[in-house]
Amino acid sequence: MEPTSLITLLPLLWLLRMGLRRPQRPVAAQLLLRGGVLAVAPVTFVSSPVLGFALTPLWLAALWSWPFVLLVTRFARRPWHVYWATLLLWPFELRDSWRAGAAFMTARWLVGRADRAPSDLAYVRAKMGRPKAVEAIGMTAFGLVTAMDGDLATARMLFEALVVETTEGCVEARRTARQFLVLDMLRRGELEDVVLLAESDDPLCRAIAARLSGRTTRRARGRVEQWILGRPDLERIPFDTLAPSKVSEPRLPNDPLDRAVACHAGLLLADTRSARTFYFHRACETWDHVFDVLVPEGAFDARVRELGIDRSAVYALRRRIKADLADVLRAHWVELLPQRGIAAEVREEVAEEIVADVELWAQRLEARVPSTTTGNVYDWIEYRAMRRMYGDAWRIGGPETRAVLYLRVYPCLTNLVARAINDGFDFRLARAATSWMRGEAWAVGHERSFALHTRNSAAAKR
Amino acid sequence: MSERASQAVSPSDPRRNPFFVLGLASQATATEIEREGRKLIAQLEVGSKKASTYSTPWGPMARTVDVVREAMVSLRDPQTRFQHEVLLPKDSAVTAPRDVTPPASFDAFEVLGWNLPR
Repeated sequence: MEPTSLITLLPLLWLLRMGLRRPQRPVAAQLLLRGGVLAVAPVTFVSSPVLGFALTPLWLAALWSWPFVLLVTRFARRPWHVYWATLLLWPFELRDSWRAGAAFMTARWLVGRADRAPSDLAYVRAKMGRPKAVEAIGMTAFGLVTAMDGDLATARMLFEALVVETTEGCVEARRTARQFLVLDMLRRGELEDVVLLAESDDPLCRAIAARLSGRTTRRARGRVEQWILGRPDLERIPFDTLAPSKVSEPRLPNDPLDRAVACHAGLLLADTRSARTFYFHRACETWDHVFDVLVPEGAFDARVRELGIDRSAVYALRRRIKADLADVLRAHWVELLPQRGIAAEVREEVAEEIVADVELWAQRLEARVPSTTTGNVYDWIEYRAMRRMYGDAWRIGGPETRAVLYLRVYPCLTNLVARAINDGFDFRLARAATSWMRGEAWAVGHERSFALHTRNSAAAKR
Repeated sequence: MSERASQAVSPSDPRRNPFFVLGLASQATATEIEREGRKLIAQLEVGSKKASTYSTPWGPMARTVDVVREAMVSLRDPQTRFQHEVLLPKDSAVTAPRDVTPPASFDAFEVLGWNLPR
């Protein structure tokens, strides 16, 4: 080998080492080094063309992280699905389903990208927005964009609507919706929500519910494995430990006051719904015992006298406990049994609040101007939000609250159905809402809406 | 410090009971409360590591100057003090049921490659 090639090889090797370590050097130093190497490059060709040619990849390696190369790599990292979808679908721009399909493809791809730009999400919005009747695939795209914006609660409502309320739609869209729901459930740790999946008409959803609730049949396992357990990295998800189990009975103190305090603390610190339910009932029972038996017996009198305070402090304590219980009931769903004492008071208070929420929802829906850009996606969101509030309200408030709520919700939902049929051509929403109303009408005995059973287009004709 | 100690807690959280924060028994006098509170604030201001956490039956919690001040204020009022005294668990064997929530580091979305804002 000639001396010139040897001389040029040394800085080259050093540069390669630098490139592997990716050191943060000043830009001027980098320019000097790389410029120098590039200037020496022709010398290698002059001395030996074979050697010069063989060393070409090394010269290119020296160019690595050069601004030009960076530009190229950044360009290569663009969301190509966006461009491909645009290129492939431009003849079908007038067809809603194709455009929604492009939106879904792009959204599904963007969900896994850390380097997505706001313009990418804007592309998806523009694609999914125009169709009048948003199909399952458009709804999924909308849900994914909402999730990427950080609003997981709204996305959850949309995906729930897709999975629980409807049985048809694009297979891939439904699969994405299921995947989101299960992952979100795992993230929140609210594994009791598997009930939601278990109620679904979708066999795959029921299979997942069975797997998560620990009642795995061989058939269910096969189906779940097709969907989620087939992934190589799924070993990292601790499915078995995540399965909800029965609450083990904690050892509580014998002293009534200590027991009440322990239950109260357990309720405020509980992480799961079953634990919350357990402690809620125990706390209510024990506080009732304290305030109905111990306080009249004068359990706190000595302490009150010693501190020199008013005896009303005892009732202030009861108010504070009631506020804590109401906070828990408001934030989380707790299964309530027929109650008396402090539990009944809390229940009444929270039920009134939720009824007021439903009332607000109805007013908002009446005042709402339908969106022309996003189709009827928001109708689905409103419908699911109402279902959630309604369910909470009547579980807490009992059958009377249910009847009152139904009377309030009925005209709004009828309007919603009429709009879904006439303006949005969304017969799935109309069908879902009417079938739910029919069930509720039978439950609360509302005769006027029985007509929906046979003539659900009557509302649309008005 | 455990994961729980670093997370935000509401004022009604039993782990934030002022008696736990100051490390005192429910029979402590007003003088003892003042003395202990000032001592803790001074320790926290010079960055004492020992004073930066306090223990509760549910594990250690982070102690800051604000938390100590809040505890002192709430114990100065006899009515509030009475509430905290009553709600102070005497028996530390308050056992929570088996924890079935996934560990805090586990993010199902991340595992399946969904990149969503936290």
